[in-house]
Amino acid sequence: MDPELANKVIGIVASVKQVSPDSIRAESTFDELGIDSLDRINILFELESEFDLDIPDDEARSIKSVQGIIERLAGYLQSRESKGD
Amino acid sequence: MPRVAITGLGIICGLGKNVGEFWHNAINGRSGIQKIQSVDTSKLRFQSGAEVRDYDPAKHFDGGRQDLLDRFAQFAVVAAREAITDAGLSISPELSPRVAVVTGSSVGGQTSEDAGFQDLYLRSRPRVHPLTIPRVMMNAGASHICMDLGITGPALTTSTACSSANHAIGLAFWMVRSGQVEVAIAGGSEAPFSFGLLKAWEAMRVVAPEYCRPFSKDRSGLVLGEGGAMLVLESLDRAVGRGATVYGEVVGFGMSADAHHVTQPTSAGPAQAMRSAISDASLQATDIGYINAHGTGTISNDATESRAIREVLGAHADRTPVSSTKSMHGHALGAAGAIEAVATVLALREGVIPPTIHFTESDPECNLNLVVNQARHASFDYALSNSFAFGGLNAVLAFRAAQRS
Repeated sequence: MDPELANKVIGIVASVKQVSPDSIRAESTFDELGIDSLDRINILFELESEFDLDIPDDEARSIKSVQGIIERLAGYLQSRESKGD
Repeated sequence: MPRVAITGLGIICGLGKNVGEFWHNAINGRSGIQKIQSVDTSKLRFQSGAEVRDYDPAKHFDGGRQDLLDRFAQFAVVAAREAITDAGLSISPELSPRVAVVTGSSVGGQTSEDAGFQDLYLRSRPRVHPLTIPRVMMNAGASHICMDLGITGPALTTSTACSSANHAIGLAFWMVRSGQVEVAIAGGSEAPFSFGLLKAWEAMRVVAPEYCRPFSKDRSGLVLGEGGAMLVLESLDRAVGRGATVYGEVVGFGMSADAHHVTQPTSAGPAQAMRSAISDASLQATDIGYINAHGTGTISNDATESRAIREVLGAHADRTPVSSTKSMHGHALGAAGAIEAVATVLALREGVIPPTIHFTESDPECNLNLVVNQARHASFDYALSNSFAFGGLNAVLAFRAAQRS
């Protein structure tokens, strides 16, 4: 796992939930963090803006943890790199 | 208290441009949902909408007037004209101040607002169209109905997102029942197909990419629609006295607020509104023979609404058919309740329940007696029509079939 990416994601989740990044671990699930449907769309919005990408709704629905975001993002960024985008 | 009859219906929406066309398509399970044409969808995650196709404003409004009315206000007037003609009512100078107009709209003149903002921000024009304000205002539908038909009585607009039209019809019903007015024209209209608003809906992540499948396990969201629908209400005595056709009656209206969350629904708020409507109608839950559901097709609404229906109807829910016609005419936001009121009244009158189309698989979370994919013949006396809004504002109407001779 890319620690820089993990830190960025945790920072975004923390800022949306308005909590300290120290209280969030990569393994934290959305349920554990009390992330509701509105928090989810806010997090997705911040991620799409930060990383300049578009996350489809069905993929977005399948993400249920911080780790899930990090893995999905890593996949996106890798496929973008390999396309030379 | 006087009974309140429905003596006129008018509609224009993605499923039909008049009542006959709408009903024919509804009971045949046709879909008004197609690829969106009025907006470039290449930068959208969804492609489908229930637009009013081949709509020519010039057929309804002369050149000068067309400029004054946004698409949503045009739909309000077109539906009101059909309803008042259907009711066979002429608005005399004596009657005029005793007629109310109550319209619902969630987003008002979006098309005009979007066009104005594009002029400013994209084209760097120094000014917007001078009629932008009167086109955009949410009460434009009510105002233009009054001007068009010469109505001078109480007129207002309710804006409670997806419940707007049910609130409008409910308040108009109470105005007629209490004797404040003799006649009311009530309903809603909406024209939400502007790029800016579609992007806003996209960001909510509740719009299905293609089909709207309410209560189906594989549902993936709502599909937006547009249009207008209006009902003419008057006391049953007045209607019978003038020999009008009585389609049915409005018998109850219930409202509630979830006081919970801006987008996450509860079952308690909707259940309370359904109970209020049933109680306002002096009915029992077991009297209800059909529910036209809010049934948006979002994962959250349909499961929550199913729980609410179970809470109110109990075991009677097993015997009560439920359908969501949004699967055919889309979610027309502030017009939704009015379009669904027309569907519910005609279902009562004709004894045919329009189906929830595109249904593929049962969801244990939506354990209801669902009418799916094909219309169902059923004779029943009372029906509910549910509308629940973002912001947690709920409005439910109860209807009664006209007494069969």
